[in-house]
Formats: sequence, structure tokens, C-alpha cells
Amino acid sequence: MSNAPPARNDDAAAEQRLMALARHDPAQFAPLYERYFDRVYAYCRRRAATDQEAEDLCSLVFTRALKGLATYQGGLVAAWLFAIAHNVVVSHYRRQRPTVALDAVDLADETSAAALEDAERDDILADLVADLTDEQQQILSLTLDAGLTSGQVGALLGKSPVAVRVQLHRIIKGLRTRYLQVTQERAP
Amino acid sequence: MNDTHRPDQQPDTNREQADLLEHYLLALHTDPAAPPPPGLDADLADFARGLVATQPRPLTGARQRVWARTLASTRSPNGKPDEEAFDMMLTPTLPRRPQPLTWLAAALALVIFGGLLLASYLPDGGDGEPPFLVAPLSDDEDDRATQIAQEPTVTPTPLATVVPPAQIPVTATPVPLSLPTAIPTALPPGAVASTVGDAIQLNIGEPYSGPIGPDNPQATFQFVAPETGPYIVQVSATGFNAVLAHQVINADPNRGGGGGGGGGGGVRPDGTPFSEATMSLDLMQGDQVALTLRASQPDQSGTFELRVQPVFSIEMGQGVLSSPPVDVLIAGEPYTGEIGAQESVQVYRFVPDSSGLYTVQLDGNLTVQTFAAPPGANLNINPATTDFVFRGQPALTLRDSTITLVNPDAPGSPADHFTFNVNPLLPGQPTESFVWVPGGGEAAVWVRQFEVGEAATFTLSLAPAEAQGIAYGDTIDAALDADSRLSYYTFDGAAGDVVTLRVNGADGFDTRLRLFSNDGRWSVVDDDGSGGYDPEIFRVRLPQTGTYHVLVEPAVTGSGAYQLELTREPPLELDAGAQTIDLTSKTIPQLTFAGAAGDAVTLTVSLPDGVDAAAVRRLEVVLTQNDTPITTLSRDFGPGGAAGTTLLSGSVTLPADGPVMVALNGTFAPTDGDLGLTVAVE
Repeated sequence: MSNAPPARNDDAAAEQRLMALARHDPAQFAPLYERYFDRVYAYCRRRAATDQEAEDLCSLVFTRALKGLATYQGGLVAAWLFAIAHNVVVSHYRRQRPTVALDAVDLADETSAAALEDAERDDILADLVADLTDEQQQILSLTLDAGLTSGQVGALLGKSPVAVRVQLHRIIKGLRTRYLQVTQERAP
Repeated sequence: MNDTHRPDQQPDTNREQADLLEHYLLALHTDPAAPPPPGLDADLADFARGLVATQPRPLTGARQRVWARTLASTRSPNGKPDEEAFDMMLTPTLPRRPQPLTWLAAALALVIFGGLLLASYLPDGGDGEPPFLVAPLSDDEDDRATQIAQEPTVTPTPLATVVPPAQIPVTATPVPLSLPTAIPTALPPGAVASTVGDAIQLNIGEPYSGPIGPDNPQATFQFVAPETGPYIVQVSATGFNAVLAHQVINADPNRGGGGGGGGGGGVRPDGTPFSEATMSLDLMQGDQVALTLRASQPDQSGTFELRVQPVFSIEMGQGVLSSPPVDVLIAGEPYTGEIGAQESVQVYRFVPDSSGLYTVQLDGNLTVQTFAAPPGANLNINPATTDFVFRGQPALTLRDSTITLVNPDAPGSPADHFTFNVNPLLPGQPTESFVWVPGGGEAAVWVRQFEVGEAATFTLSLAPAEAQGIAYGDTIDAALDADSRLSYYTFDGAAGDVVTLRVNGADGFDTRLRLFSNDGRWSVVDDDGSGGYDPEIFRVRLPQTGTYHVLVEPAVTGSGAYQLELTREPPLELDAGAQTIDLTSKTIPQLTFAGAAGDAVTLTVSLPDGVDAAAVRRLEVVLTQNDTPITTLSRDFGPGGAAGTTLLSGSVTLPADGPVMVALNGTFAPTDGDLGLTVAVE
């Protein structure tokens, strides 16, 4: 789950002020890094084969963001930042199915049946998400991980907000259908 | 079931569920325990909540590792990693909510600044006093002193790493400024004096320059936004650190953040000194804007240059396009161009020779989008704002990739009879896109940066797409893949033909089906009309005789094989006797009878037993022979509906030999009972 909610109006004003300050003093970008790191990481991780690769992509996103502070022309920082992230991920897209590194697993939780069930669910879902098309994965991740609205996702993908919403609905419906099929097949 | 509608209108329960689902997902992003909105499918909501919970989390220490790598890649001006900034930057945290005292003080500063600034040039409020757009300073001297004491001082921040801004070409003659000689002593520290009577009326796009110093402490400009859209203010200061403040008085008093003539305006003194900067303003047509430029320190002096222009303004001579600029695309001719770092979009116009699908090819790290307007659209493209004008009124606005269509005939209602295509090409994807352009209409193709700030060259071309013919009764096996992302077919149809188009995707390949009339004013779009993932346009009646265009495309993305089937429902024969038509399916079939020149025929339309006459509100019968209309019979029964069983009856002498087609049109009120008509020819 995201550690930081999407910016509300007041936060958006504070973010815009930080961006204005960061143009002249990059140190002012630190709070924005703190805020968006988890979301950018999650977005990259969905598309990356490994955690290492996700961190690399994440670093690339923030590098380009810092170097491109002058390109920010107002509006939501999230939309600007994930436009960069989207481009980075498209450029460095890896087709391999995401895997979870061993050190990412919380071993203490593995002893509980609930944790095992969750892990199995996550594993199935990861498989199903990996089978989605590039664009479907983009829409899903930009919504689930980045927390962007359909309008913002549409702006990145060149689609209307309605088209994004409808596709998102279709994607999640389809995932659910396939998830039920898989779990039924695996049931004893 | 397919739905006959305009391309921009596809209301259905899936759309509602999609809206609710997005609402829920965004809510979960803020609160993992957020309840699903009423009306959202409960199973889907449960699944969505579980899906959100799978968001990947960074490994321990990832935050620091990523930041270290970021800094290693982000060199400071001396070329070395900015380690000092690293230590500094991980310390502060973003306040989740504004700090009350800070914002209270800032708000007070805005109040003081705005009141003083705008009182100078706004229309009189009616009582002889200039209206304050924000709360004025207290009349009480003690209260005012308290307000001023709470105003934060603006402390200049040393410039650490300044990203080089865009160069600002100054080509126009500098405008001499008449400025006040001193800041009034009553102002709080850091506040900006009003230039009563001395504001410079600014022309969009023209550069202004002038001195700033103890004798000319500030320069104030004002302008009225000529068009709706984003604008940028470019400022450079030589010899001093500048502070730019702006205030917008919204033309629309109902718009948030301001009010027309007396409401609160959005005052935002930036407080950040700079030597060169670009500020973005999102304005509506008629918005009044005031800009004030001053030195961050009273003892500084120097000169400044300032210009305001639309964000999408394309500067000639900055390498946007080969010279002269290309405005009209010629089919089949490639155009090469360049979008510079400061430009956002380049728009082309295209007028097709005939209706049809056209391919748009683009090479370059850019994206292209298309828009097609119907015949008579008289598409007027404003390259400065990329606004589109239809019949002299704004019809489409492109801003930040968000496109809004406005029906100029009925403002506020959904767009009407526009064929709207946005088929982006993105880097890494096939370099071919499509736009469907009706004959006599126009298309706009705009090339835009994929990532702001990156210059790129491109080659753009547009050419007719090759259509495959399909006829009634044909079944075509085809496939879509990465190289062939859309299939295009045409067939000839006659007015009144009742046709069915069906796609069967192999291995669950999910497709969408579109059917257009040749002028683009009639279209049918279907996605899952078959009941599964396959689309089906079922028993639609063609409105006119001519060429029809069929598009098959992936419903989302992907590739696969499919089978397309086009059938026409055979017309009902009237020669053997009367035909009773069941209208429950809401599709009126075509009818026919054999005719010979000189035959006098009488056609009668009546109600079969059990059908409520009150349900019939209007009826029209068109007889056509050899594609030529012979006669039209019509009757309007009004809101009360018909009375009696005979609805229409009329006679005509046939002018030629050949089958006569009978097309029925009608308006029927909803009814719980049967709905039908009996048609007979004698």
C-alpha cells in the first residue's frame, strides 16, 4: 500500500512552492523525494524484473527529475514526475516477469497461514499482471501504484480519461475472472 | 447489444462501474480501509482492494541507495557529485498540511499585497472606492500594525544549483517605464508597492525591458488574457535578484480561486529571488493579470527583460520547422521538422480528397495525435494555443494532453457530430497511427514532445490507408499484430439495408468494431455486443446509400487472429401478402415488392392485434425504386399516439421497372406490451 496519499489541494500548493524553490536550490526537492519515492519505486518495480533493476529505474527517474526541474511548468508534481517515470520505464522496459528477491520476503510472517495465503495470492496476481499487455500494465500501475487519476494517466498515454477508466475497469474485471479460474484450478 | 450513437457517447453500466471503480481505487490510495462507493460491484471492490494491497514495497535501505545513485548522476555545476546536498536533502520532510502560522502569515501578506496592487487599476466598485479583490488592510492603525507585524520577511536564499533557464530573445523595442520613485514607508518589509497609475499595459508575446533600482523599485504590468490556455512569463534580471508576483482576477466569477470585480483574487508573491525564471499561468479568456517585478533587496539595481506568451506559442526562427512553416499536409509527402526544448507541439492541417482512413507515420522520439472534424467544420487551428474553432466558436482545446470537445451549437452539452480520434504514437511503439477523415472534412495532426524539455527531430507523413473490400455474405479471416494494429474494410450499402457485422476473435482475442457512414455523421461502435469479448453490430439499418467503413481494432492492445462476417438481412417480401413486423428489437427491417412501370400500388400500414396504438407517435414510409426515392408518406400522431388500427395509407404509380424498397421510420413510446406494424401492398 502506498505510504503517501495523492496530493490534496493544500499539499499541491506546498508542492508547487517546493518545486519553485527547488529550481534554485535542489535541496528543496528532498521532501518531494521523500513523498514520492515509494510510489515511484512501486511503479518501477511492477515493470522491472528485479528489485535491483527497479532501484536503477527509480534512480534514473529522480535523476531526470532533478536535471529537469526547469521543465516543470506548474500543475501536479505527481503528473510531472510520473510522466518522467513513464518515459524511463518505456525506454528501459523489461519483458521479464517480475520476481521477488529473497531478501524482500519478510521471513517472520511466513510462519503464519494467513501470510502464506497472502503470498500465494500475491504470486498468482503477479503472474496474471505480468501476462497483461504493456499498456494494460501501464494503466494498472499508474493507477494503483502512482495514484494518478484517469485524466492524468490518459495524459501520459494519449487517451481520454473515459477510455482509461473503461480500460482499467476491463483490466481489473479480467484479472478477477482469471484469478478465480486459477484459484479454482489449484483448489484440492 | 450494440448501440447506435455518436462516437463520444457510450453510456452504459460498465461506464458507471468504471467511474465507481476509479473513485474507489483513488480512495484506497489515501485510506486502505476506505469503503467502496455505493453501487460498485461488491466482488469487484473486494478484488480491487486485494490488488491494491499487492503494491510492491522497496527493500530496506532502498530509499538511501536510490538517492545516492541519483546524486552520483546529478552533478553539481563543478562537475562533482553534490554530496553536501545529499546530507541536506534527506533531512526535511514535506508537511502533510500547511503549517497554520506560516500560512496565516502568508495569507496576510497576500491580502496586503493584493489589495494595494489591484486597487490601482480595477474598475470602480460603484461607490467611488476602488474595489478590493482581497480583504483590505484594517482602517484601524493599531490593527494594521498587528497585521504588518505578522507578515514574514522575505529572506533571499543563496542560489545553490541554478538550472540554466531558457534564453529569452528580445527583439522588440524596449518599452520605457514610468515607475514610482519610492516604496511607501507604510508597507511591511518585503511587500511590494502598488504602482498606482503606472502599470504597463502588456502585449502578449512582446518583450519588455527596463531598469530596477532605488529610483525604480519595481515594474508592474497588466494584461487581459486574449484566449483561454496556459501562458508563460519569462523573466531575466541582470545585476539584481528579482522577485516576481502575480495576481489573477478571474473573468468567470464562478471559477474557483477568484472572483470577477470584487471577489478574492489569487495573489501569490513567490518570494523566491531569481536571475532568470519562467512562470506558468493557466488563464481563461478575459482574466485580468497583474505582474509585479522588483529586486529582492532594496539596494540592488540592474535591468530586466520580461515577456508573456502562450505556452504553445511556436517561435519562428527557433528551429521548430523548416522554413516556411508547413500548415497543410499533402497526402503521401513526408515532412521533416524539429521540436525544440522550449516548444510543445506542432500542428498540421489535412484536407482529404475523399472519406477514409489515413495512416499517420512519425519517426522521432515524439508523439502524434489526430483529430478529424466533419464536413463543413471549417476547422480553424490556432497554432499559438492549439485551440480549434468550429463555426467561429471554440470547439476543442488541447492542453496538457487533455482534450475537451465542446459542441458550439449547444454549449455545455456533449460534443455533436465530431469524429474524434486520438491515436497516439509513442516512442517504442510502431510508428504508424490512424485518423479517419470524412470527405469534405478536415483533420488536424499534432506532433508533440513526449517528454517536456527534450528536443527532437521528426518526419511526419500522412497517406490514405488501404481498405479491403467486403460484401454482404463475406467472411474474412484476418489478424492484428504489432505491425498491423487495425484492419480497415469498406463495403457499399443501400439506405434501409439491415446489416450485421460480427467479429469472432481467436483464443479470446478482444476486439472492437466500428462502422462509419461515408460522411462520418453516422456511426456504430461495439465492443462486447456478442455477450463475450467479441463485438457485434447487430441488425442496424443503414441510413443512406453509399460507402461504409469498417474498422476492427484491439479492444485494448494485443494481437491475435479474428474472423469478420458481414451479413444483410434479406428484405421481407410483400408480394406474397402483408407482413407483420415485430418491433420489439427496435430495428425495423427492410421490405420490398416487385414493381413495373405504370403499376398503381397502394401501401397500407396498420397495427396488428394487441398492439397499443398510443405507442405510435410518428410514422414515415419511404418508397425507393432503383435507388431513387419515389414517394414519402408520413404522419405525426402527437404525444397522445395513434387512434385506430390504420396508421398510414397512400397510393403511387411506379415510374420504372424493378424492385421497390420500402423503408419505415417511426417514433414509438415505451410500452410493456408488444410493438409491431403490419405492412401491405395492393
